Amino acid sequence: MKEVVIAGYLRTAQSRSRPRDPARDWFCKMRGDELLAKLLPEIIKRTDIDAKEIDDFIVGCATAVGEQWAYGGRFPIFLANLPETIPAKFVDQQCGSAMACIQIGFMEIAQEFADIVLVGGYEHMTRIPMGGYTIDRGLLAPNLNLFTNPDHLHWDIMTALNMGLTAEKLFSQTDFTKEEMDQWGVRSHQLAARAQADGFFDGEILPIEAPQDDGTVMTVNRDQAVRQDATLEGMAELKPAFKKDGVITAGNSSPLNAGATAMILMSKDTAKKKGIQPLATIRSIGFAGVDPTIMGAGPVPASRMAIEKAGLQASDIDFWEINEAFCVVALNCIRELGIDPEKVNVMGGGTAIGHALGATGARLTGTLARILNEKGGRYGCANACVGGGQGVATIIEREVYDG
Amino acid sequence: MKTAYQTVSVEIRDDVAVLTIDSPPVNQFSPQMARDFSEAIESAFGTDAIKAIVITGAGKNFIAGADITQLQAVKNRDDIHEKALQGARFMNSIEAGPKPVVAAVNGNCLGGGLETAMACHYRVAARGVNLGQPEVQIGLIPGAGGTQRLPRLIGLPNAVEMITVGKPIKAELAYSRGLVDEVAAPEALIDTAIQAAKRFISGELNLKMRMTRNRTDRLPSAAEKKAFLDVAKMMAAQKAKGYIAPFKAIEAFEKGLSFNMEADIETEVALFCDCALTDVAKNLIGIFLNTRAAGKLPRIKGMEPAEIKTVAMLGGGVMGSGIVSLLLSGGFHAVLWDIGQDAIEKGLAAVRKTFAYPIKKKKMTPADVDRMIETQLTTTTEIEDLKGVDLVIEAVLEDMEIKQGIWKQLEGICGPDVIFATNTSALPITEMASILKDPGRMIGLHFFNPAHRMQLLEIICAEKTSDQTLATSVAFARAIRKIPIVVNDGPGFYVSRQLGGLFGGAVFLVADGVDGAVIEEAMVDFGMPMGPATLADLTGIDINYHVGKTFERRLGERYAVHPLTEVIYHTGCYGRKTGAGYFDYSGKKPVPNPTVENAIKAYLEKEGVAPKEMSWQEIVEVMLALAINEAALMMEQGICDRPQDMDLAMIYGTGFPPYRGGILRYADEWGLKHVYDKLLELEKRYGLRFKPAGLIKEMAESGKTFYQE
Repeated sequence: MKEVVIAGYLRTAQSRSRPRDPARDWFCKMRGDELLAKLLPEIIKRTDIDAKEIDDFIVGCATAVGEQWAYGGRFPIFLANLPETIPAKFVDQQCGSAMACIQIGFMEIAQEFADIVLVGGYEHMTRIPMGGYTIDRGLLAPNLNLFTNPDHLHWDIMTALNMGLTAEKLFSQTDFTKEEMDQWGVRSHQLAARAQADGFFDGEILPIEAPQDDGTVMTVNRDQAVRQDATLEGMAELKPAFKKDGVITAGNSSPLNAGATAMILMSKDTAKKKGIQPLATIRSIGFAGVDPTIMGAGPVPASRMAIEKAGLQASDIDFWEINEAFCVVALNCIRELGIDPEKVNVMGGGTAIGHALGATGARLTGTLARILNEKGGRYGCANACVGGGQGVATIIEREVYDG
Repeated sequence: MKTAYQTVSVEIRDDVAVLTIDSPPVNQFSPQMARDFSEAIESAFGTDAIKAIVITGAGKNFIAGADITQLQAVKNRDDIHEKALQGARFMNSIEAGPKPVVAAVNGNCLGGGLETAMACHYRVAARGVNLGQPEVQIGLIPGAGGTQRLPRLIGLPNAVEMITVGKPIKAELAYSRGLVDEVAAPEALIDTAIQAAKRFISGELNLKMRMTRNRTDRLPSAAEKKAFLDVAKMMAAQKAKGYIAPFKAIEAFEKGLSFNMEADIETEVALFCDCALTDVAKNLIGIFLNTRAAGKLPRIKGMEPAEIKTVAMLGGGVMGSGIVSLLLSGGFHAVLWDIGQDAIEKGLAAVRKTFAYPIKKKKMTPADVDRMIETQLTTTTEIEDLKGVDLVIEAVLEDMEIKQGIWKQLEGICGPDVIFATNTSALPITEMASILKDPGRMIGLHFFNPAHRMQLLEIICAEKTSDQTLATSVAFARAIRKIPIVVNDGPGFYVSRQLGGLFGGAVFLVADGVDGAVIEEAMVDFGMPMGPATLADLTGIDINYHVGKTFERRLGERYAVHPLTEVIYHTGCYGRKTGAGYFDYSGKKPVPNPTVENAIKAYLEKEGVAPKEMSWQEIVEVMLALAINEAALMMEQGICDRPQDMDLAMIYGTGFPPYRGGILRYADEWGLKHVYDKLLELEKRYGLRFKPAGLIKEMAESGKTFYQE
């Protein structure tokens, strides 16, 4: 089995999506595939490879309907005018989509069926909103048996389809308080704002010239949802977002976002041959299924699998990127795996940076690799909960690469 | 809620108010209807017991758009802008209102009708109804949100097509595109709409999400919009040259489709007003209204047309087969007569061929054609078999004796009420009828080739044609879906002579040293489907020559055949049928024919004429001046007297560009004084042919126009 490294990582900033007020989304006039198409030539250039050397392109999106349909992943290639010889596949593992792309690319290279794999992900939650909108328009049509047939009622699909309700349920099964979640949310915003101020994200964000609804053009180079003025008091005042008397609010969950991510994976040998300095080496991957009505529990078994397969202990991991679809997901994972919270989401998490569903997996993994380099850590674990009741995880190692 | 309105009936079904727009004849947005409609909506919104509203129409239409006769009179922007804005805001208020509104589209849903439906939150359409934004066809664009709501519902590409071309779509296609949410049987329409209303009430359907302004998932990205509209503009430039509205519509998409729909609709309203103020719109509206009124002559007002069931067609040639095709499609029983079985077989084959296009387009099947021919068509070579028909149309050899012989025979066979119609294009019909005991039964029905495709039917009254014969012929024309234009007998009737007038100036220009190719370009740029040389090659230079000779003989010196026409005729190149005329057709693409070119060159050299540069505009003025003069002469001679019919005849019969309104509309816009001066100048330059008609002189002096508005 060949060793596989992350040779390049680049993303767009994540705008804040508002299906009900689209004009406020900085990317309202751009499609997800257009955002991705801006990244692809740039990451190829920055990694200093020839596009013709790419053996596969694997792209993720969670709601691949309407304009997000990508013709099996070929459209981004066409939009970026990349060589026709690059095959593509389109991957949907919901919020784990882009991480699944990394995992598949990792396996292709490890098994020597490919040498260089381009990974991408995108999601535009203003233009193709989640859930109700898409179902109402017939873009999504879940099987009605799941809602009505007694044989399937045990899945409680109404809850399983509503991420907020799954978070409420997960919260209700733990003894966290709302304040702890809010506190985690405030921390996320503060860390992200500090990282922004320090210029940390400039190393991974490609500024995009984005047309605005009023006809002007804005250079989008920072994550739109990050709030440096987030306070616990402010958070406490937010109304429950999903049910009366609920605890999950806009403050302790990730916003809706639009954005795209790209990553280049290659064998360590090839990186060495080309004189490319990798960001990290992929050590292990994990995936697991859980009760869909508490999908936020997914990262726990997925991470356990990845850690075990890597022959490590949770305590060996220096830095974690746990996707904050909801703050309770991170809190739950920290508790279940016995993680030191200070090692988690040290540049802020999804609550602040955002969570453009299909793009997130690569964002977590890429940012984690950069954190390992920045902070001098060795092992890192990125994980995410997945709608429908899953978890995904990837373990990477920063090594000393010579050449 | 208040339920008594003049044009809206209200029925309360549980907690749903069903508003039926009933504003005869077509459910137009009349001031009264607009008032009633908005009051009814407001009242339903304000009544607690009413939880949802269904809107439908009485009769054949859902809601028709604005009254376009009013638009024709618009002189300045203020006349319409405020009104249009009000209309658009009313639609906005339906959409943004507090209660769900379901459109139950019972019939044609065009223009303002579709805009109303799109402002609703749910659309149920009866099977087979038409939905569309046909405004461009009368020079306008949607002005109550159509350009902004349609792309939200069906995506930009389909919306651009529907709005810039103006062709409606059927309910079924509208459903597959997402324009309507359900298609229902007509009898189940209202119940289906009420069911939908109840789904809103129960919370199953979400009002906010269903507001068209919130349907943003099909709006293009900025990059897509630019790329797509650039192509749309290019295509419109090719296909809609001379028109304004398609470009304004594209501008409405370009400036709009933001997330601020109401602001974008105000932009649309401004663009709509731009369109309404153009001559093009006024011309097109005029054509639309005149087309509806064509054939409604004072002379036959109130007369009951005789019922026509069976029609005999004499001659199965090019025209005959086309006419038979029309008869079959129109549901008539047809009897095709020709001189021998061979001719009949050929005729039948030609009839079948006329259906090749609808079959290719899947509008009908070969089996449909077989069935029609089997059940509606009989053939015969025996003239006695025509005994029981109601109307005879004759398209045999253009020979007075032969034709008269047949009519004489038929006079003894057919009953006294049977109409005798000739499709002659050259022979005097008054003379043809003179051998009949009752010349009042004879009329000219001049079809244009291909008869089953061209929309015009030129109806020619001979001197003694009876009013009853005319009334029945006009009704028949409508029954076979033709636009009837009634004129009086004279050489070339109206259309051929007018076309001769329009293109007749070309030979004078060429003889003056102007390059024929430039004349072709100028006329195509003006909007004609082709230039004079191309048309001559199509109809035959020899045929034109003989028609010219006939005109000269019957109409006198003014129509003397030009010496250059003689020269060209004597080259023996008669056009496509001989392989070459003005152009040589032996290659893949027509190229100028050296034989004719050299003949012209030799003529010019002999006459000592040097090549002459002339702008397109100058050429067009020469051509149009002669055309206008010809029209005036025909009016003087009593061939015709209705400018609107004359203009329609040229538009539908020869492809005169509709956006220009017609030859006489053009004359009015140009100004008769200018026309007169131009003709005087041309008379000096080119001679008697251009001598202004007395009528032109009189109009120039009195400041009159052809159209009296």
